Amino acid sequence: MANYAMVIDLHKCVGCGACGITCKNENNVPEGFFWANFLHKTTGKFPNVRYEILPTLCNHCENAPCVKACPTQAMYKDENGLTLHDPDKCIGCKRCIVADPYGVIYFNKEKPHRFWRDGTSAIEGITTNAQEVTAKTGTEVPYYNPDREKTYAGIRPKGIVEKCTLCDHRIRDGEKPYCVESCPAGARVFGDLDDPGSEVNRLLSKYDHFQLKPELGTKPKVFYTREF
Amino acid sequence: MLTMLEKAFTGSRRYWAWLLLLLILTGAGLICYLWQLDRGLSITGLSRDVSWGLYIGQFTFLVGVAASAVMVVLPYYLHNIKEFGRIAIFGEFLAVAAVVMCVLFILVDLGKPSRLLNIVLYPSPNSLMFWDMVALSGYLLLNLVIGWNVLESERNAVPPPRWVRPLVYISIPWAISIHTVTAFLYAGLPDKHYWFTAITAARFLASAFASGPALLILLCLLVRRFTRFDPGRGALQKLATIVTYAMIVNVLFLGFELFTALYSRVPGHVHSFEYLFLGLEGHGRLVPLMWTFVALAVVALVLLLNPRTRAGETTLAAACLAVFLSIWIEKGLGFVVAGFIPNAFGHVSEYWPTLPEALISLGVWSIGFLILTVFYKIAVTVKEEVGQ
Repeated sequence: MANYAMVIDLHKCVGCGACGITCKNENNVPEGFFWANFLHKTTGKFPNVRYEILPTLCNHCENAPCVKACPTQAMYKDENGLTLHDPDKCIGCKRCIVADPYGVIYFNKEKPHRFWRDGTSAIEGITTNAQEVTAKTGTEVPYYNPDREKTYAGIRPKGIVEKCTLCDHRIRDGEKPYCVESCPAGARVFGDLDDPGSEVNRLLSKYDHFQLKPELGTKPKVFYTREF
Repeated sequence: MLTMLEKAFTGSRRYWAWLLLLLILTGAGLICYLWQLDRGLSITGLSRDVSWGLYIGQFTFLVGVAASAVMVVLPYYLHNIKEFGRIAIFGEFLAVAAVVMCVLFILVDLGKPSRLLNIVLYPSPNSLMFWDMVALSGYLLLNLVIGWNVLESERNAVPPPRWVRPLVYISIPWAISIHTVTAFLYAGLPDKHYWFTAITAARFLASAFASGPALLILLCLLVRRFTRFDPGRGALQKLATIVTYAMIVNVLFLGFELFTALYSRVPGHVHSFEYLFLGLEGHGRLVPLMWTFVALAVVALVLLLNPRTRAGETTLAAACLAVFLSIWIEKGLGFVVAGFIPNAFGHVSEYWPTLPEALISLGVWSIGFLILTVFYKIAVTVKEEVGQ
C-alpha cells in the first residue's frame, strides 16, 4: 500500500516536451490525445513578456470527481492511490469527462490510430504507407508498445474513455512512470507520500509548492515546486 | 388487456398515415444510428471539450416533460380537481412516452451501448447517473401500471383497484425526484460554474412544469380536433393557469441566475451567459437561438398573462407552442452546451449538432410520438366508447 504522487520542479523543467512524446509511445496514446499535456501562458506584451509552460497529467486526486461520477465503477481508486480505469466496464457515457475539472480524460469517438491504417503515401509510388506496412508485417505498426497490455487495454477501443494511469504497469514492476524516466532535466520526481523519507516528501517540505485548482477540494497528487 | 391493445390496430386513414410518417422518421434515425454504431460518435458534433450535446440536452428536457405529469395527477388525486379526471390518463401516458425517449437518448449517447446493463451489474451509489437510472425506470413502471389500470377500469365502468391509489401517491414525489436527480447530474460538479448552483434543480422543476403542461394542452387540443372525445375546456384552462405560473417562475429563476452572475462579475459565472447571449471571444453560435428563446418567452408570457388571450383557444395554443419551443431551446441545448464553455483550460470550444445527430434525435422523438399516439388512441377509443 502506497500513496503515490508526483512533484514537478518547475526550475528544472525546460519545456522540451519529452514527457509528452514518450508517454504517447509508452501508452499507445491516439492522435489528438495527450495523457501528458502542457498548459501555456503568455503574460504581458513585447518587450515585457513572459511565457510559462506547465506540464500536466492526471492529478490522481484523492477525492476524484471522475470516480464519483462513474455509474459503472469503471473509474476507480486502486490501493496505491492511483485513479485507474477499467476498459471492460466503461460504457462510454462520458460522465467522467464532464466531472473532470482538469481536462485529462479523453473519449475514443472513433476507432483509434487512424494513421496506422492510412493508405496515403508521403510520396505516391515511392514511400510505403501504413496500410502497406501492416499488410507486409502482419501487425499494427509502427508505434505499438505491448508492455501497456500488462494492466490496461494496449489500445483502448472505440466508444470508451482513457486517461493517464501513472504507468501503473511500470510501477508494478518497480520502475518509474515513463515521463519521469524520460525527463532529461530530472524535473519530474515520483514517489510515495506515505513514506516520510521519500524524495517527494523531501521536496514538498523543502520548497513552497502548489497544486492545480486546489479550491475545488479534489486534493490533487501532482505538486509543482519552485514556480517562476 | 388484449382487447384494449386491439384498439390501436383499428383507425382512420389519417391515423395510419400519421403512424407511417413516424415510422419513416424512425427508420431514418435508425439508419443514422447504425452508421453511428459503426463509425462511433465521431459522426456527431461532440468533442473532448463539449462531451454532451443535443442527445443529453433532449434527455434533460424530456425528463422535465415526464415529471410534469404530476401537475395533472397531484391536483386530481390530492385536491380532487374534477376537471383533471378526464385528462389524468393523458398526462400519465405522456410521461410514459417521455421516459422512453429519455432512456433512448441516454442510449444513443453511449460509446458502448451494448454495455448499458453495466449500470445495474456494477451499481455505484455515489454516481448520480446510477440514481437517475433507478428513478427513471421506477417512474416508467409506475405510470404504465397506473395509467393502464385506471383506463381498464374506466372501460369496465368500475372504480380502479384499491392498490392503484397508493401507487398514485408514490408517483407524486417520485416525479419530483426524477427531475431533481437529473439536475444534480449537473449541479454537483466542481468547476462547472454555469451548472454549479443550488437553483438548478428548482429551475428544472419550474421549466418542466411549464413545458410539460404546455405540451399536454397542445395534445388535448389535437385530440379534440381529431376525435370525438372532448378533454373539456375547464381542464385546459386549469392547465393554462399552471403553465402561466410555472413560466413566470421559470423566467424569474433565470433572472436570479443572471443577477448573481452579472452583479458579482465573477468571471466563471459571467462567461457562460456571455457565450449564450453575446458570444465569447468571437464564438457565438448559440446567440441567435438564445435570443429566439427570449423572444418566445416574452410572447408566451404576454399571451398567458392576458386573461383574454389565455382564454382564447388559438392564442392559448400559440402561447403553449411558444412556451414549449422556448424551453426546448434553453434547456434542450443552451443549458447543456453553455456548461462546457469555457472549458477546463479557459478556452472556448464550440458545439453544433451534425445532420446525422439531428436525424437520430428526430428518430427518438418519432419513437416517442409513436408510443404516445398508440396509447392516446387506446385511451381516446375507450373514452369514446364509454361515452364521456
